[in-house]
Amino acid sequence: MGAYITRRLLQAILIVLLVSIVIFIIIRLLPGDPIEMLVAQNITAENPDELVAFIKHEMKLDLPVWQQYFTWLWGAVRGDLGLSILYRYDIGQELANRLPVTLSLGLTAFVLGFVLGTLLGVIAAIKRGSWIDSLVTVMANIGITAPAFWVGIILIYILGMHLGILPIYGYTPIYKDVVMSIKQAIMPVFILSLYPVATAARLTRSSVLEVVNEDYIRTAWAKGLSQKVIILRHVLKNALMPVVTLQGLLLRNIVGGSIIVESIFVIPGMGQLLVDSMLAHDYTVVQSVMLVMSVVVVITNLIVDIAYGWLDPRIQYE
Amino acid sequence: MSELKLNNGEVIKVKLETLPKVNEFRRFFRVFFSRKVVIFGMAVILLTIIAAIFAPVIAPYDPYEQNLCNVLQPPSAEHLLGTDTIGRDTLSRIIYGSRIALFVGVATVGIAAFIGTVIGLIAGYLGHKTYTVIMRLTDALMSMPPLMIALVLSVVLGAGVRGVMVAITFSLLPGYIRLVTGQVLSIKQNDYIMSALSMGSKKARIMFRHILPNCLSPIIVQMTMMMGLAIMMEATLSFLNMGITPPTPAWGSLCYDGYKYLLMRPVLSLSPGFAIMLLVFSFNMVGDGLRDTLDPRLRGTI
Repeated sequence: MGAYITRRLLQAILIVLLVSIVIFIIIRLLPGDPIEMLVAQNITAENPDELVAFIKHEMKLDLPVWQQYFTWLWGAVRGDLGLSILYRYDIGQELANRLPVTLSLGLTAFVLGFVLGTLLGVIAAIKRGSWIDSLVTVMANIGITAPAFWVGIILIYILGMHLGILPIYGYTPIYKDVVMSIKQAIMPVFILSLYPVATAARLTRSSVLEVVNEDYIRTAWAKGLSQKVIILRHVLKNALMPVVTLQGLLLRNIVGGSIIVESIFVIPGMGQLLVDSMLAHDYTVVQSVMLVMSVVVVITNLIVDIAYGWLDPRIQYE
Repeated sequence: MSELKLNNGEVIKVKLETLPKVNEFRRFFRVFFSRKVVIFGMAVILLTIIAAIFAPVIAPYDPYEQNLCNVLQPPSAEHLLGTDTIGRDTLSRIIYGSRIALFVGVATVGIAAFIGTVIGLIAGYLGHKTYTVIMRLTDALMSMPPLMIALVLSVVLGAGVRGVMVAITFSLLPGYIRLVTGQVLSIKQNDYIMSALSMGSKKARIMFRHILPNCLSPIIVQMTMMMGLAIMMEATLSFLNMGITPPTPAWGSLCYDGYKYLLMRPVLSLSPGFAIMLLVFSFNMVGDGLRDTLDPRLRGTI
């Protein structure tokens, strides 16, 4: 297990490095020079060209691209993500405030997706052909195909505007006002978890139906085990393998979905910051948000991989 | 009856029983259309294609025609889904929006599948260092949320159809590379590849004549499923105002425009969203049907 974890950890570091290079390249391709825009707005500047050069020098933007990359990377490793070009705030500090917001909603949706998704999938598979099965299948298909922003609009219309039982925007940390915090989180978490619940339910259902036909399940029945033991010990543990793998992929969707949800519900998280700073051409912020979002996904994938290796020891020796 | 010569020289007569000839086409149709939901999906897709092609004939109004005396009308006999803030007919705009949805969907999925298949074939077949490099890069792309990449890229390339297309293609790509590489790795183990190799076939011939045809089914299934994803992504980008730019009617931006008048005219933002969901659902169902028909073993894996 130790060797396996080390190998996975090294792979994760390599992936983060590659991701950082990809992000850096994409950002250099962004149109418009934010420094020149900044100086152009400042009409009192006596010598604009000199000012542009001065700011570029100060922000180390006059160095060759590869040197800029390493400066940025080295800073990021130490937790220093630099300053926002436009507003001069400390990006690391800003992200430290925003990351918990996105994570608290995202992780709730992630856990909900896994627990509720597998539960519904198992129930549908056990009651195959019944109305519960049909209901789960139909709901799963709707959950996969309904656009997140559209579900958001419907919820806001019904729950927020017509019934008036939930606030339609905003975010409150849970330690400040528990009731308000939960009320505000219900719709965003529901939307974020819709896709994970639906895909996990669908995959669990088909996976359980497959495992049920295996020889070792017949053996378990033959030796007289109860249905509960068979399902919990033998079926579920094997059927969950593909579902655990899926979780790594789902996290990308949750982090991506947070961009939509935070825009609709005006939540001060990373997704909102990404959209805002992209519209403002604030390079340094965009690249830092992208990096942090990807690192979150990589770390969760690492945890999923380790869990997978623990569930299925064969994986460790591949 | 035909004669069969045994090893010891004895000749016996055997009756050759051949299986009844199966019409592959018929079998395909029987299995494919056995589920009602697949027929439904197929019908929706065909209707959408027809609507997209014949939009000028079907749409009751010009989607760009403004009528400032007639803004934000509720649904009526004249305007079935009402009108927007500058008096444009919502139904007509939705019908025209199917053009963008289908075009972006087909183009991005097609290009991504083509490039992804070529890269996947090369990575899977050449193996070793090429495989490691391509797979690590794919892993890196896979760990970035697709919506995040698409969003940033469409800003890099400038919002509009072209930018959106490149952005979505790029974010779909790693999925194909991984799928094809996996297929190639397992197909490579087959005896017929070994025999082709021993007969002196060139690498390119083995890749394209022997391996590619055998991994086509999952690629086709994946393409149908990805259509839904691509359409959804285009709609999301347009909804966030970083995709198709107004006044071109795209379903996502129609949703966004209508959202501002949600309390007054919910139909403005709900109807285009429903169109997105219907089309995405249909592509997913047809993909399911295709998977069951082309390769039942894939059930549950894609």
